[in-house]
Amino acid sequence: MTTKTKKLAALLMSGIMTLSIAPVVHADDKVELTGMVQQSRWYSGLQNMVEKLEEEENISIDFEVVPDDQYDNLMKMRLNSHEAPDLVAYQFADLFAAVDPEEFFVPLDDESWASKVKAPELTEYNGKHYGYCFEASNGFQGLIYNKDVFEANGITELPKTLDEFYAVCDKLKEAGIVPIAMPSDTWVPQIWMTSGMSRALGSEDACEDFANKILTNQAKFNDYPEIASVIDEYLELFKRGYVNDDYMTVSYDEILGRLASGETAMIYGATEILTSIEESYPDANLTIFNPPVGYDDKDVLAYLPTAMGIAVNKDTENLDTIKKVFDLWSTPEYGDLYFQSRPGFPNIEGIDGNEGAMNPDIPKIYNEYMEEGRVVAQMNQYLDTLQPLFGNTIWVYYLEAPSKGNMDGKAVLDRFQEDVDKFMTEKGAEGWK
Amino acid sequence: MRSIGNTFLFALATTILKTVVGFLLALVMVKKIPGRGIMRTIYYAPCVISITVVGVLFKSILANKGLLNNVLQVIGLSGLAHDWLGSYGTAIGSVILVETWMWAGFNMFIFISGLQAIPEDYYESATLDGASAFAKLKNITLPLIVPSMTVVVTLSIAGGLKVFDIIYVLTNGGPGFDTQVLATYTYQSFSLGFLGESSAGSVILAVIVVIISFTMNRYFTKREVEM
Repeated sequence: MTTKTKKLAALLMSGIMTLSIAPVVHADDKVELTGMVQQSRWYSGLQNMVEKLEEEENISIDFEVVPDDQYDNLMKMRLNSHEAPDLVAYQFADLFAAVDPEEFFVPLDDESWASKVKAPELTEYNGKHYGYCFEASNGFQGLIYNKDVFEANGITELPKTLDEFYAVCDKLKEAGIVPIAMPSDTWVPQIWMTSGMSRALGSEDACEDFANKILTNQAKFNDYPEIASVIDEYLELFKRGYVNDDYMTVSYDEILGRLASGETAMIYGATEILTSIEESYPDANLTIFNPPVGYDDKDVLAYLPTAMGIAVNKDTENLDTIKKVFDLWSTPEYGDLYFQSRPGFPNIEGIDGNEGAMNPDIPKIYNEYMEEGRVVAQMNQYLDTLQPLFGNTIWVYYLEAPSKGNMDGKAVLDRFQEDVDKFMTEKGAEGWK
Repeated sequence: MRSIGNTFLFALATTILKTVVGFLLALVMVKKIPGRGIMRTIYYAPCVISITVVGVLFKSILANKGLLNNVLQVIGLSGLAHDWLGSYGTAIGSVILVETWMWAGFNMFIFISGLQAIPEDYYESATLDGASAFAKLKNITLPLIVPSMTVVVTLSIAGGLKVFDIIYVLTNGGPGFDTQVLATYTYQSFSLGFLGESSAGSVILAVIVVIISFTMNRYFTKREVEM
């Protein structure tokens, strides 16, 4: 190649390279953030907020939507290998039982919206706050039921005793309707127990005392017979034939469809779940009530002191942008979007939770029990330390026990106690060293 | 213990089925029949499909209100309809059959290569001597296909013992823990933070795979016949 040709080639290359970076130089400064969120929590409201952010602020958030049963393992693996995205969505404060926030997340105490947070305890860990929560609470737990199915079968009044509840279930069963739906997704059947155990103990003090003794190995689960009775009463539903046959395999989404269509009458859930179902099936006539149970003579309501929120990965290179995002999200222009199709209880003052569109029974029931002081947090919150164990142990036993008929409440708790002993010993927890 | 038992059951059953079905397919597909090319592609295709797609597909087919039960009802066999993934026997059986469906085609190609390497002269001589088809299979085909058998069996056994993905996507070790295998048990122990237990499980699995694969390989290699 002659010298002239070489020079020409060099000039050409320089020109091409200059042209190739020109679009970058002149392009809008779009910032791309990454995130991960559970499939069940990829709400349309959150999607709308992300969309608005991209349109108006040129900030895009690419959320990876992960199936719920894979989320925990994926999140822990990515955080530990420093490959996690900028934003990690999770239920607060359950997140702190799964991973150490001090090691992985950025504290957000100095933000402009921090003073407007209604439930700061959700994101608090060792005096600092590690997340942005959209809601102050996920509401309370109860039996979600299809009102049309009840009315069509002449059930005009809600049962007030366990016998009345069984009579309602018998009536529905005779009419060919499955009284209670149970999916194979283990986080749903366990709601009976996490709600029931707190109701059985009856008060926040009793629950705290119970949890403290269990977690420090001063007592075993079966030292409290009322706890086993909760499971026994749940198992009785299966024995009486009130539950769908395919509970070991049917998915949660399919069960919701059956509830909406009237093929099944009830599902144990929470107000947060009711709101999600109403969003997916706006024509279904659903509501919720606190079911009567044999082990709760005080008629207590179990509530969920948890909420969906987002934590910021310490390894992020876009912290300033993320802080800007949260500043924007804490304004009504963005924050209201979250609750537009999913009314709830906002965690930031000034944001409209669209409570006017909320199922009227929700605030009615909640206020009634709150005013009389008959509320208690679900048991999972008190036993938060054992949270990593639940999904692969006791929640599975709750389905295995009726399927195989080989365990009653006491046996389930004995088996779980072994898991707890092993887990706490491995952690070197106080009382197990 | 259940997970170890399931692991061996899965490995043994799938090895036998994948080898037998693969071999039978190869015997047919090695002949010059119309549509041979398309049929070979159809049988091979399952092994290139993503395991996640296979899991979602068969979960819906085997569901209580899935395709299989619907077909059984339509053809008047509703008595056989069952929650296939809801009880141990049918769940583990379903996983074994899905695994066989996925990989029999792959083994078919290995056997086809082995069959094509057998000189035609042997079959011609046998025909002249009046040997039956079964006699040719027993005395010519089987002894000379042993090298292919070595590859197929060794790969199948090792893959069966290490199985994780098909169990995870189809049953996730369920119903309950009924279809748990050693790999999924180790994974679960690891996610629960039982690092000692999960490490031990991994080591045991590796040792089992090495010993059994090595043993099977030596067994078949000794039986290889030179052409």
